[in-house]
Amino acid sequence: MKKTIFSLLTIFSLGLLLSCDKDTGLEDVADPDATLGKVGNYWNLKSTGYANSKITISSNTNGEVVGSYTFNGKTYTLEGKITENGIYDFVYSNGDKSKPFTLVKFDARVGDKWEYKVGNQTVVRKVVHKSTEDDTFYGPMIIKTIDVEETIPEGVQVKGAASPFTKILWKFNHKFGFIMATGTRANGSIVNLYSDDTNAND
Amino acid sequence: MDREEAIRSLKVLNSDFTNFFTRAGEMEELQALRFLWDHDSVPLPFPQEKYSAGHPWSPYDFGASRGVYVLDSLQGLFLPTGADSMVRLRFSTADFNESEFVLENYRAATLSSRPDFPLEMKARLHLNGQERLVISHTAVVEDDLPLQILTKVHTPESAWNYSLHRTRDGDNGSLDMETSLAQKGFTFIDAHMNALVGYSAMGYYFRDISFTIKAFDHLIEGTIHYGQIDPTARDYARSFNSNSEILIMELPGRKVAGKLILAPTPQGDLLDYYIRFADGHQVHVSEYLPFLNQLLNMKL
Repeated sequence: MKKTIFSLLTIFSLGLLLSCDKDTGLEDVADPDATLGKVGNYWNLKSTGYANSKITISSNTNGEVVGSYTFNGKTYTLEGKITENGIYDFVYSNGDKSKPFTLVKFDARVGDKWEYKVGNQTVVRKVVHKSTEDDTFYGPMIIKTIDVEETIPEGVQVKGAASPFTKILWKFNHKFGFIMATGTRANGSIVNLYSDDTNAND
Repeated sequence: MDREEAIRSLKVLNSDFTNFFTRAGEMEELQALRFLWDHDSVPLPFPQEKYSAGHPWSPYDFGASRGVYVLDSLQGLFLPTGADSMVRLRFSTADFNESEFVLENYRAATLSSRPDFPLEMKARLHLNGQERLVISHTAVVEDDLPLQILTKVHTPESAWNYSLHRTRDGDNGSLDMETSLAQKGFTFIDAHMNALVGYSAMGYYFRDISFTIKAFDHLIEGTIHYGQIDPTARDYARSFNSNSEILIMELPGRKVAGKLILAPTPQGDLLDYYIRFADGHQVHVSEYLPFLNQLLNMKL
């Protein structure tokens, strides 16, 4: 179980990390402090049955961010790219910064999708919902979200081990960043991870 | 070689591997290990690795597991019967009498990708009163990643060796792997991989990979400029194929039977591995090398 929550944190935490308007995510960021990736931004994380955690942005170089979190007494770091319009991660490239994968673009429309090939397998991220009115609780507020469904073929590796999930449904907000993720394992069981507090909009 | 000759050559290679897997499956040593693998009650490391949803993972405690265990065939469980400085599993089945698996020592460390990565292990298998298999394994971990691995599995007639050596200089490094299989002193599979890697906070990633696999009377030789392959390219197969060359050759003489490529399936929406012959014709890898197709699609 520890292994699952660790994988969950590894994959999901990258969703915290935010961008411009191109598919590549390689564009420059004019002002890193004007993005969700500002150094010091944090998100509290909760998942039923697990100890609470918190991920904090520890560095930002031209949008390339490093986030740190503690799990089971050990500190882990994760890398991503956050620009004014979106979030990109390096999960499937295992940190190769020349190969970002779009997690969300806030100007995307329902049906937009991004693909990342690993050999003959394809990880697909598709926008499945975009709120037209406030419809999701976030702490005491109700906010709009953009929802991205990630489909992961069986056996695709994340940090040297097979991803425990076959699907992840991500929820983001352009001001608060990561809101929630629901991971579905191969056996159909579900793990939820959500944020109930952040200083990203302060 | 022409297509007809190449097809013959690929069929020979597939036949060699099929015979090998068949013979390996019939080895009593492997059957005994599989028997143990299927018993979740064995006080060995792998039941903890066989993760299943809802089953809490816990690290393997060699010290607490030491003792003598005997298989209760009625319950299908290994039950403790006495103290020992090692883990001794005694069992008799319809196929094996007076058999014993002994885990002499075991030490592990937590890695970024695995909660219990073995650093040291020595084990012996006795079947019908005779020593039939010895496993020895050592590893060194640095930066939360394997730095060196040396694994040897020997039976009276065969030997499998595996080694890994990783280097790091700042954000650059290399990875060298070797593995070989021999029987009665004859090495029939000998594989080497050398890779240039880059390092990140998440571990390492491949930049350039070169490998050779000498198997029976064939040689598979490849170079993959992995760092140049664009995983988000609209035409990923083109990006992969233009940055890689994987040739299947027959020995002696290094006569090329075909080149392994990535191409769209007939439906067009998926990619899969194909073998391209000298005349440009290509066939799905499963057509003549089903064993390779299984390896390429193995879910680890």
